Amino acid sequence: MTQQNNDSAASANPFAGFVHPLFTEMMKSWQGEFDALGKKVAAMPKVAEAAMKATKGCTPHDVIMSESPVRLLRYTGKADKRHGTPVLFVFALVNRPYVLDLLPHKSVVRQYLNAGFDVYMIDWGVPSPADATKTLHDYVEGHLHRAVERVLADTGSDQINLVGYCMGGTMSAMYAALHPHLVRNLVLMAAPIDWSSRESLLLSWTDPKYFDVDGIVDTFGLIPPSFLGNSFGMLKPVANYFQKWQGFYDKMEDEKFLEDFFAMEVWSNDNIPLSGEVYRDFVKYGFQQNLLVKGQFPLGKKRINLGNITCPVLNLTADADHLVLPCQSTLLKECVSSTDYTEMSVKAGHIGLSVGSRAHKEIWPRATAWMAERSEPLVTA
Amino acid sequence: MAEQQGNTPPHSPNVDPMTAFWRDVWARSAASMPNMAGMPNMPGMPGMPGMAGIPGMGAMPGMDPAAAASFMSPEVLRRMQGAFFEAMAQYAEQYMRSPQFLEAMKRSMDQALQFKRQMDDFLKSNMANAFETASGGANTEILGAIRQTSAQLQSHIDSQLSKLDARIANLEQAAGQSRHEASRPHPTTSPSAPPAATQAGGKKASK
Repeated sequence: MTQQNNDSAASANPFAGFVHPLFTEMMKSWQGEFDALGKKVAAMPKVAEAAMKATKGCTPHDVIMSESPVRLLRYTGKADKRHGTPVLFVFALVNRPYVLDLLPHKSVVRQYLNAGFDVYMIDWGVPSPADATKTLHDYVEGHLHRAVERVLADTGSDQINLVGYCMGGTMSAMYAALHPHLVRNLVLMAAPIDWSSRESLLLSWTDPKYFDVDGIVDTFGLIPPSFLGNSFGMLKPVANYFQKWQGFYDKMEDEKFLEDFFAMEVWSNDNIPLSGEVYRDFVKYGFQQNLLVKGQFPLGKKRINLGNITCPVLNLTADADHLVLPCQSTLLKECVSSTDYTEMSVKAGHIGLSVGSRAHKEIWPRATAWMAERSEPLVTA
Repeated sequence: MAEQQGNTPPHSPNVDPMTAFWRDVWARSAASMPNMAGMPNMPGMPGMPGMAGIPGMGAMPGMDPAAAASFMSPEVLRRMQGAFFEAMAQYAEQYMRSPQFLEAMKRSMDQALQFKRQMDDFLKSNMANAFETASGGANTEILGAIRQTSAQLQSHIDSQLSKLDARIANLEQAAGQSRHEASRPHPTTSPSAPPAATQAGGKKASK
């Protein structure tokens, strides 16, 4: 009777006799995941330790000039000095510059130190409400120019090698156009020069029809760091807010990965406010009117003419850069008068250009060699 | 939304964005799982595979349990997740370029600015006065005024310095000229030279 009941139940329920073996097979395929989960839980103390250890920059340096909040840093390395022309790094005003010296194996600063250059960097500092009305002119012709003069005085050189990153690259190009006799070589890293491409999301967002830059600057004075940080984050929301953490979960037992991850996290969350007037200048004359490539970008009482740049130019771009598309940088070739113009590109994103392993293997040894060939040799007494 | 779908969508423009998004996720999932090839289509959705690709839904009685379990393996879930993220990234980007998003962004930004202005006014006019203290806005105004004054001073000093430079340059030029003239050998006055020339030179010098 019971056997009969079971048979009838089996014929009524097609899953009978299927579910148990299926469940057993599933457990087998998920066993590896459960084991991995255990390892991840066990790795939590290491994660906390790595988070605590994350540092801001790794190469020793001295502060040789200070104009609150701007500081000029001189890096000290162990390599012998081989070149007479010093290198000055100019970073963007919207983040901290130590991304160029994030970790010993990911430091652009060390690449130049090891190649035998004197290396300096401008740290723009954290602007206070007193800096809200500082214009791009104040930064380029004020702080940057005084930093260049200080570096030249410090090294006894007549000219300088400028390396500008992102917005700092645009500022460096402006400086080189205004003071061509002071710049020996100009290296630009993912520097926006042309804002005509409609591919960039930032350009859609800053369309004057939808974006009231005057309203923002007049209301806030200093542009809040959260506003800038979230704008950049939202350019790739899925990658920045989901996939990043998925990647973290997948690799969280790896100590090397944790070191890199937290160094990067500390930097990317270390946003600083931006002077409203600089923001207004950049958005209006750059993003909205694209005046730089037209030779019409106003800086104080002058207009920037990139055609004044005659020094050798190295333009570095990142293929997967979503913040500054390569096409926004490469138009520089058409604008400058330099006969010695070189482009190099790497498969990386905007920040990968300075911290990516591929960039440090493929681009930076070539970029430092490029500069070494074009710098004054060191004259020893 | 129909406007921004011109870029990539592998679907009909008449489909609403939410349906289009999920159809895309399914299509990507199916494409990433080769063993789903040949599965029957989803009823009413030509080109879409059936439920076989969905974890837990592809296992059918009569199948080898190991093969059935492979539909629910971590690898399948990872692929599904990857497909979901890919589709979400693409649709998010499309949406953030759309006029609807830009309008919404403008509205919310205008409201945020309005709120900030009202808040600043309130703090400045009411709270700061009530507590007889300086508000953040007042501080900013003072700092702005100081900065403006210092900029004016700076530009005044700069213009004075450039005037001074010009004067120094003129003086140096004049001094250089007179040194040059002084170092020139004096013409030897021969007794036969006409006295008128000396007279004229004397007049010039006195000028």
